[in-house]
Amino acid sequence: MKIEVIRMENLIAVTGMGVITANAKNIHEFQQALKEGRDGVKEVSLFDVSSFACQTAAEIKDFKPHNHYPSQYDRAAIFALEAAEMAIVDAGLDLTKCEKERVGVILGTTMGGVISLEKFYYSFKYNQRQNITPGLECEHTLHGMTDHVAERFQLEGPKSTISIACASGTQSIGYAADFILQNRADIMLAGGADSLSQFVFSGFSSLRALTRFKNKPFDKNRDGLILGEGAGILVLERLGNALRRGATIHAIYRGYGFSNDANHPTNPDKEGKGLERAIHYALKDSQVAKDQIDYINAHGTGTKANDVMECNALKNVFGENAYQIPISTIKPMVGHTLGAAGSVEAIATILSLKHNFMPPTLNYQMKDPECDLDIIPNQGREKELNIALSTSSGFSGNNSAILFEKYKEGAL
Amino acid sequence: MNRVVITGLGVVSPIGIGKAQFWASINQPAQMQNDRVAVKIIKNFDFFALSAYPEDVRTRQMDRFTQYAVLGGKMAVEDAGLVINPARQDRYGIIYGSAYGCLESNTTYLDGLFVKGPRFVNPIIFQNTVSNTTNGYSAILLGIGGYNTIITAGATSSLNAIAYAYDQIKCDRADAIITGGVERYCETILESLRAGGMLSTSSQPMAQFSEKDRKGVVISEGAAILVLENYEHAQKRGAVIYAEITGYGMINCNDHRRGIRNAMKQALMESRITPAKIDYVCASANSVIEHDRDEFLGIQDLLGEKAVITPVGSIKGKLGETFGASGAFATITASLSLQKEVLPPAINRVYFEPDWCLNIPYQSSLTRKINVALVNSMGLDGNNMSLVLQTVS
Repeated sequence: MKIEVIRMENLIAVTGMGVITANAKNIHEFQQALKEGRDGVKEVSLFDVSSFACQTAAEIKDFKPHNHYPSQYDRAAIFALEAAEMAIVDAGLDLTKCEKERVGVILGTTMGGVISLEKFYYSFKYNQRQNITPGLECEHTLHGMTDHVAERFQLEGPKSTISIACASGTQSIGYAADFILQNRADIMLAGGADSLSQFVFSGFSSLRALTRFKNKPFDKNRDGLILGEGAGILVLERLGNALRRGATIHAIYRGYGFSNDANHPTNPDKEGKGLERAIHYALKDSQVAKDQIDYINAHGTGTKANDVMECNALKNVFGENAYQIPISTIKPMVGHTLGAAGSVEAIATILSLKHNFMPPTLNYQMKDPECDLDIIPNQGREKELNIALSTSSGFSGNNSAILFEKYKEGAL
Repeated sequence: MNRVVITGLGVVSPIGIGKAQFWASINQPAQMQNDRVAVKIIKNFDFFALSAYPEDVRTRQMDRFTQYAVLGGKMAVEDAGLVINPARQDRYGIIYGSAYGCLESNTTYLDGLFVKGPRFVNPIIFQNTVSNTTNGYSAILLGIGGYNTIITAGATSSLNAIAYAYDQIKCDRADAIITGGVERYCETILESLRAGGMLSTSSQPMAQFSEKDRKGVVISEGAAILVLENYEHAQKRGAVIYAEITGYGMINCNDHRRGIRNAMKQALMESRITPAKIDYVCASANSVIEHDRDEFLGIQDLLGEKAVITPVGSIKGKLGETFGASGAFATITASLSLQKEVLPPAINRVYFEPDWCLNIPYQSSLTRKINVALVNSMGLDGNNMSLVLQTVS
């Protein structure tokens, strides 16, 4: 009995999830889209793409927020606010009953309020200061979205923002969980958000990282990624707390890790040593053995370098067993949502555990001998899942990994 | 739980490169400052000469933001005498904080986008538009592949980073972490403060620090990097220990009086000491009058009767506002104060409200043996942080 109580207080439950992506406006649509393998890739309408070879992205169209926000609020911040609200509602949380200083928020983002930065910089650079609406100066920062979420829901606990490029969304969840485990908070919102922008689109295009065709992760003929946008936010709390208030428990958070390749300023380390370290940290933190992993939700951007690096990292960690573990990536469906990717994929991982269904890696045609793992091509698969891993890797060699476990009632 | 100590300091600032120059600068007696400027930047900065890194494929594309962090990190590691064993590199980490990150590169990139058009942007500059490039370069050049991240939380960013690093070592995920803050000035920061009404309204952007119009921030820049280390690890290799970190507090609240008071209380509670034990407070002192009032009243609330005798200091009068690096600069100051038993003056302290019953030495340094120091940091976005440093017993 006593051990059970300790475990209840030391385990962290995911009790709420909110998500917005190009193929889903809420968690139910998201689950449906993953199941059907429906992608949200369309022609870009947010800005002019006529001069680019790639003209598609997983853009969120016809977006109608549930609330009215001040006009200067950045697009990414609105995604974060909407996802946070959905997560809080999903968790059935009454924040007025919580001690404010014990509820916090950690978000991850790559570009933050980059659309606002374009606007703000253009306005003062070209002497159009009259276009600077009051408050715009706070929108272009990376942490603006986190400030808005904390302000709107009156969260007075730990507030911080992680910006390690495409690995941000994964690490933010672990960072938030640490605050609960260290007894610095009771409830944490965690996740990530990013928006499409001309800034990022032109940059990835200049790096020749965008595909003109379909995004084909792990395929021999993969030739680049498709950008996306959106937000994914989770509610974390102690399992004991969740049970006491009768919340629905989506999954148990087990642990995380983050690292750097320390290898090359811009290219991923082909050997995958950095990601390998992040996964090792996550396994150690979770006290989970390698052979307990049932499914891996990979980063899988569909660029030449990333996918090889990832497969090598997984082979380094899991050895021969790497070939037995099903792996998939949802990027062909939701695009590469940068700072949101890790948290959107964490939500996809949790849904996989909950529904015993692994989403497919879409658009797969030809096997690449360097990426010869079981990548669940084109058709999703049902399997009894217990523990799953999600990984992310970004620019400048940053990696993160996170582990979730299925919650089974009464089986602590 | 491991004990966490500070064993290395690296400083890159407009008032001195390296801890010795920096310490000498902040301890200069107060003089009337005639050079009222809105911005203090590091002049004649030559990264390759200062760092002794060769200019090659690994280092050539770094922006100034990254150069500050890399140089600061190198100095801190050298100051700590830390030798990174490649076979154990997973036991070391890098956790930085910055409020604006690589904003300068972002706007350089936008210049290309606006002028030449989206087809002709520079991919090399684009690669510098994520703030963690600084982590990537630091990891490569310092040979540290372990825990690695960058935090942005406005003006408290670097204390957030130090706190995160502290927690990682405390629960034994790492033996040592290079942490702190870095900030690089660019025009967009000035314009943001202007739009937010943080600068003087006169035609010349000029920070005011006079009695009547105290509104005005002197924008500064630089990197303040520390080596945080597991106490036993430091002891085993015979390292010089500046101070021990024993706790921190973190409250997000726009009522800064309550926010900073409760953050200080949290930090003291974790350190298991009473407010009466505090010997020195290195204040946030944002030089925004509402903030200063709230902070001072918060300190008074906490210290009670002892408020009139406990020295409260700030180096922002000398250094300026370094935003995401300011908390780390204050932590370095407090660490050196604990070691050298000298408290630097809060120069430029001209205006003082009669109901502030605080002891703020502002004309010259004060020689005093201190054992417990509080470091505060407050941000415009509502964050309040406080860190407790103690001499190692």
